[in-house]
Amino acid sequence: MNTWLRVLTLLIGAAILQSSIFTEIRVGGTGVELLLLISVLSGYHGGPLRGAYVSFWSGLVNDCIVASPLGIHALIYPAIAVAVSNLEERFINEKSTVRAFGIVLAVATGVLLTAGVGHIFGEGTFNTSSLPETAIVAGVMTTLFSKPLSSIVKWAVSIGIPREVKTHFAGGGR
Amino acid sequence: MAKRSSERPRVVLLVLMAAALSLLTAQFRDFLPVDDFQQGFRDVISPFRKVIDRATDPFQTVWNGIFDYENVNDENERLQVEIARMRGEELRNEADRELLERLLGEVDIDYLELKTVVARIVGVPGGNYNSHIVEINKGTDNGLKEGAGVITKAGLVGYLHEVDRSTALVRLATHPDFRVGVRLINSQDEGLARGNGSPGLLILDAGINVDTDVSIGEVAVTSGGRSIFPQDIPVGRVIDPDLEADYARSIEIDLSASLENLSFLNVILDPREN
Repeated sequence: MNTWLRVLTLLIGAAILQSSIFTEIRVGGTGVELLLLISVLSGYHGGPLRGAYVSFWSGLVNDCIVASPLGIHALIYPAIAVAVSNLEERFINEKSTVRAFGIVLAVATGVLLTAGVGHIFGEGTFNTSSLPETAIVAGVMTTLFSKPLSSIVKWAVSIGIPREVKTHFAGGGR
Repeated sequence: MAKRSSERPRVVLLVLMAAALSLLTAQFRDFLPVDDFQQGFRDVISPFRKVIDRATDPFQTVWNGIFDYENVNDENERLQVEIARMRGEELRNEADRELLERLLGEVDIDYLELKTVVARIVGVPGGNYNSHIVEINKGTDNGLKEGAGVITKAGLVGYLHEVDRSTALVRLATHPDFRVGVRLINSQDEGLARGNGSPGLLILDAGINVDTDVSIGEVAVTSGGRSIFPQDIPVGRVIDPDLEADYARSIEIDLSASLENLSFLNVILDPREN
């Protein structure tokens, strides 16, 4: 199975889960951002280019399932993936708690930026007074699912990446 | 760390962002294929969603039992306070209560005869982007159309924001982009009310004169006309008439339908049929 077929399978599977069981998994009304997590992890495992492409499509899929204007999430997610990819080198040897904190931060930033872009385009869908709280809770909740999803995203986006990468991973203990 | 390609990620990122902006522009200019693409995607995954929903139903029930327990308690407390308030009102002002009932009785006559489709709420959209939106289990296959008004027997709820083949999304009246023309029963003044994101509240801040006599408890109904809502659907009662306003008046209306505890809704079929 080539990379894009794997990515397609991953995104459709994530879309089904995000729009079914993950609509119910909420704490105080805040839910998990599964497709944003895929964008973050694709930047982490796949590098900036592959991460940008995967997260663009991930954003479009999210736009479809939450019925937001097509392009709102697709505008933000690639930027998040590229940023994560650029910061990845600094986190590679850090403890898992530090990396988890990085994911919380990336997801929370994604939620805030999406709300900001939505606001610019006249979409008043967020309660601005509770937005920081929503972003943090969403970040924490989403990070709880990062461990199992990380392996799947790695399987989907790492194919074809040179072998020397693995020797680098071994040093990082990831 | 993944090996970096020799290509420049920044250029790709800019191209992707330009593509996203182009799609957004197309969407806001009502370019139909964009809407169709979104609806088509939702229609394709809809059967799989239903299977997953059924398979994970016990888990979802357990989750809601754990994390929504506090909400249920809060709702019970709120209802007890509401009952106490209503009893107090009843004792204090019997005459006003009779007037309110008579007025509600009058407005009930029309809107209960509307042709509607009964739909069940199946959930909310995933993620955190769309608040004040719920999903129902009826769609175009059941004759629903985008923009149709949604009510319950208690009154106004919202309108259909997106309609797929077997499901639809309802934008609730509390959504910041929701607008509805309303008429105050006593003064017969008409204005435009909007949601402001606060639970159970509408803000009537356009069309009502500063010197209009508006009292607490006054009933507001839809004004009809060219609106998607036929006239005389109960909207709610005034809880703050903003009597001290100098220029622009901002009247708060407590919605008569409880949007936090909805299970079934009535979607109004084409208003012309009514």
